[in-house]
Amino acid sequence: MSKDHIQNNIRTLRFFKEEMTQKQLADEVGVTRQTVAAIESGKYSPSLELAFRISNFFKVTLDEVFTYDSSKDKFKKK
Amino acid sequence: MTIQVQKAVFNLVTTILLMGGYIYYIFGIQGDINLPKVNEIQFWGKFILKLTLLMVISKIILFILFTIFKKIKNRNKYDEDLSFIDERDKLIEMKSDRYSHWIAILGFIASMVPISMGYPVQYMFITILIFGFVSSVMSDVWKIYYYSKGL
Repeated sequence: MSKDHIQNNIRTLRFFKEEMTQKQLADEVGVTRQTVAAIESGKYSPSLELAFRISNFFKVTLDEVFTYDSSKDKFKKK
Repeated sequence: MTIQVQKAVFNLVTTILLMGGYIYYIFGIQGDINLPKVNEIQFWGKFILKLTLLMVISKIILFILFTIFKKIKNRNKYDEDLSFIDERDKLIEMKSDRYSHWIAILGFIASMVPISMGYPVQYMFITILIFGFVSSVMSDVWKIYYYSKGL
């Protein structure tokens, strides 16, 4: 159940942060390593709180970590 | 296999083994004593109470053993806390529990069918037990599914 419309740059940001591991990032933002792996692979969309924690940790804005493509979103207006 | 999936698989296997073992003990080993009593409500009351106790106590002991085993096995690797759950774990647990509760409710309603049709009371309890077992198994199956496929 990959969420194609929400993409992220966590893998790149980790690389530029002294090639930190998923486990290190998970410990910093208070989740399990599996959750970081699921976010990176697009299998899980984090809560707004966790998304802000991740962007705060990398000292970037939220839209530099997560990008939203409305054309791929299956959402339909009622 | 991640630790959460391992926990779900372990729970699934222990549920099947404990339930199977208990039914084999009651109707196989002690079948001569228990089989003539299947029409009594008292027998089914005791059956379900004993099963609940057995499941709760055995699962606590087995999870302690599982935790000790994992600690010994991973002593040289980075420490993975078995009791730690984050927002994704909670969401998966809520979703899988919601579906398993639906099965349990469906089982209760289905158990009324044999009663309303005039069948003996044992069929009601058998239906409840089957659906209870299926809901417990499906809860773990959905957890495994959500952990591997994503939410």
